[in-house]
Amino acid sequence: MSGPTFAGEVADAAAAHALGTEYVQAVGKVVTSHVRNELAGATAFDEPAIGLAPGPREKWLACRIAMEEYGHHLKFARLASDLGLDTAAPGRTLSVFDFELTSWTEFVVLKALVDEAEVVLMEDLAAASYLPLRDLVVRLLPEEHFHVSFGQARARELAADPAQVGLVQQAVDDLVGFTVPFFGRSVSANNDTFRRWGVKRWTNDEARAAWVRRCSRFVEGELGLRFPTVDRHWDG
Amino acid sequence: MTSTPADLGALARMTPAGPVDLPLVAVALRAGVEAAASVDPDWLSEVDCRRAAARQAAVAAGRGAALEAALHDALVAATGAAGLDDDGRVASGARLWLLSGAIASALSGAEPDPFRAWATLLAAGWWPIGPSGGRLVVSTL
Repeated sequence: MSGPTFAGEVADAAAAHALGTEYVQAVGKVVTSHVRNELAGATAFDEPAIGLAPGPREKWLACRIAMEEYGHHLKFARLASDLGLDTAAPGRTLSVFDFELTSWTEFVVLKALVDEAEVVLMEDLAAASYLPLRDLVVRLLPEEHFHVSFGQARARELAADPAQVGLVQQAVDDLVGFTVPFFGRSVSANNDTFRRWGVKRWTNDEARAAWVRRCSRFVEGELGLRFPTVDRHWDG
Repeated sequence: MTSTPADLGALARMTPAGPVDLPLVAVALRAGVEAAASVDPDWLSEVDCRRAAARQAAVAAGRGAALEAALHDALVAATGAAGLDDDGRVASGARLWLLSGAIASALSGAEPDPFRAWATLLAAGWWPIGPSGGRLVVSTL
């Protein structure tokens, strides 16, 4: 990263535009990525999980989660609109959404691991220089924490069941591989720009390492399972 | 805020899976969540099918965009973590599950609309839960 780091706070869209195009584009990339990926998550994983749930309580909690993720998409879309960004333009969703969800076991492991990745990203954004983004993330984090705790609690129950433990391990093995790219490449011009403007604080590798620490502690320490070896550098 | 429709019993018995003729009980949230855990699985499965069918019918009728638009503000208004414990999330998820089915069903143009009676109860602030333990249970939240 070159150049001084912006240390100010940006109160609203007008102030963001006053700082210049590069700042608006930096915030815009982060916001529109969330617009796309919150919807992709709700569509690919959470809505189908309603039908996979083994009982009514799980079904309705899955429904609540699906609607929260969908709500996140809408709230990020509103933020993008306030900034004057075009969210209708097509863009790539994260590769984790290529994972094909087929079972409730996969869903709960996904909530425990993949939503933890989202928590790591949001915790970084909770100090973002763009205050409307910071405020939104702070409001959404309790819901993301709930999604992770929901996944962790059900994963503990399933891992304690001899008939399910192998499926939990398989889901961990599969989902960790899909989630590593979630944080972006180790060498990233976008991330350099985000940090220079105070939109993010962490490098992609730092965020990835934080996720690996948390998830390996959960999988090995609480589930008693194996966490796959992960190279914390990722170059695509 | 919950209000009590004059025809609560009749509306509650017209469930999205068809008429249910069981004794009606109205319970508080905790008892509602307990009853929800043992709701009749066949009945639940039938509602699930009708919910999915309503969504497919709305999309097939060219109203997919209208469906998404109708869900937008309803969901933004209905979600928000403040003050919700696990029981509150179960009740909220169940109500959202029914609400999204009711919106899809209304947009599909189904007549008679299987979700209409329970949509009235949702709008009045009730959580209609379903047949559980030989009773038809609704909660006052």
